[in-house]
Amino acid sequence: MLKHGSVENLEGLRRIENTSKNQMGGLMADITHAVYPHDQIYGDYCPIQAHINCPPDKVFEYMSNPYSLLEWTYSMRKFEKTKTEGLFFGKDRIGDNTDIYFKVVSNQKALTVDYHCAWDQGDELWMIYLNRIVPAETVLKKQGSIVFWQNCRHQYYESNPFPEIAPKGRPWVGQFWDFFYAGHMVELDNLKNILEYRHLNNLPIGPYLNE
Amino acid sequence: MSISLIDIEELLPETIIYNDYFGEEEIRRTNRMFSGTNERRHIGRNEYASDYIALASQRLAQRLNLNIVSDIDMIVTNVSVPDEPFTGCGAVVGKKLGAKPKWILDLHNTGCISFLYLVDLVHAYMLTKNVKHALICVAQTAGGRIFGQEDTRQIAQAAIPGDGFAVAYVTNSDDRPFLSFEFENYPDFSEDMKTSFKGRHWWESRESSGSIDFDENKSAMIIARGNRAVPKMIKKVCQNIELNFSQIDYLITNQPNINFLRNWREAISLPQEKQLQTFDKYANLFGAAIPINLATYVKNETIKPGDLICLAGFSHACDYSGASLIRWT
Repeated sequence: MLKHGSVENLEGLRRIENTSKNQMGGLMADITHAVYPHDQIYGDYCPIQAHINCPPDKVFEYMSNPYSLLEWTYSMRKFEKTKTEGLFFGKDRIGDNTDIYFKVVSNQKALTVDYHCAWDQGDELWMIYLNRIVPAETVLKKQGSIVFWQNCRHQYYESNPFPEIAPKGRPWVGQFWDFFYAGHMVELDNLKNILEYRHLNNLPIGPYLNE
Repeated sequence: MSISLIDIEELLPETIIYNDYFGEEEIRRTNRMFSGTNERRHIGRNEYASDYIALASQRLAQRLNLNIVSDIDMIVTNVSVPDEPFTGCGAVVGKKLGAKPKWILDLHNTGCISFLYLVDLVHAYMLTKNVKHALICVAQTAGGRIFGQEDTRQIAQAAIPGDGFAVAYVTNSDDRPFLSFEFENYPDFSEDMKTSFKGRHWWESRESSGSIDFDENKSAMIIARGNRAVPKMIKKVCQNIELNFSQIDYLITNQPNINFLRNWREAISLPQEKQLQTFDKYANLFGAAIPINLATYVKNETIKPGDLICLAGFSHACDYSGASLIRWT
């Protein structure tokens, strides 16, 4: 007897047992387009990635240090520690007089470095930047690292959940969601340039800035 | 019966304005939204849209051997910055031509895509009011009128608008029919582009000339809207008559900046040579871009008999979008 919830019972699964290779081929051809609208790729998630010619442990060391964000982000500046362990306060200069709160959540074994952030308040860090560092040797048989960086379109991007604490007249971060791909690419490029320069010139990996 | 485009005439002001006429050079050099033009034309202070429209219409009438009185039932115009705020210019065009049209309409919405909107509107009059032939007149005058003023020309965005005019002669026939139309209105976005007069209303006395501004904070959203809406409209008109993008010989859109031109072309996988535009020479022609580019490339014989041309675009901050197809028989 088939078990409730088993793959044989679930509708809509495409497996070789119920979908011939011929059918699958047609399906693949249908799903494959010549171009994909920006909205379809970056509408709800913003995944980007880059190869960085710097070993994974050094990339991890750099990215997991909160002060590195002073160097490679476009506009996060003037960091101070808060009373809460691991929680930092700074200015996001992309918004007028905008406070940003963040913490770095990293896992050295998994080579993940996540930045949990929010504008204006530090109680609910909902803007989450997920990063995974992968040894390029394993996936591309070349030296260095691949950095995969993902964002998800949290519902708060649609409208500011805490309008009462926002500086008057400042546009909401979510208005720029459609520029996230572009903005993050520019910052990832900053990260790549910094790490490659320091690594290839045998310099301390940094960060060199600390406030 | 269909609405057919019999002939089309473009007319550009003679005054060529070069890049050094405008301020904020650094911004124009480094921001792709304000670069990509070398020249544009400006209407003169004592010239009127109705002068240009009348002259282009006379040239059409001559070429087609029209009887001005009996061969024009209808005149429709869209002038981006009206000659007169109160009366419209269609009747003045009629006077300058000596025409006696039964219908004159001066419309002020649908900006950059107004040519297609006017064609569709005239078609409705053909179907319901027995209009047989009409002049469709599109005039873009914001270059000289707004961005050619001493104060306004100092800002980077002033380099982007250019002036130009086009008149099309259309008939209720199957001689060269528009094959399909698609339009959508987006009223929610209607106030994201506005004229701005530094705290004054345009009808009040004031010291500054004013400009046309987008809501800068919405720039990412406006770009995303344009990137979505125009390819969507193109897709719909193609689907209507069961065509693939690859069957389009030429794409003509409004030309707000080099980014949109690139994005729309890429969205339908057309090679660059299949996009007909004049951005470098005439800049952003707003509503006049589509008919001017069509006329320009018909005249220089880039467009050849049998070519399928897709016309598309969006207006303002994307309050309206549309597309159409025509085969150049």
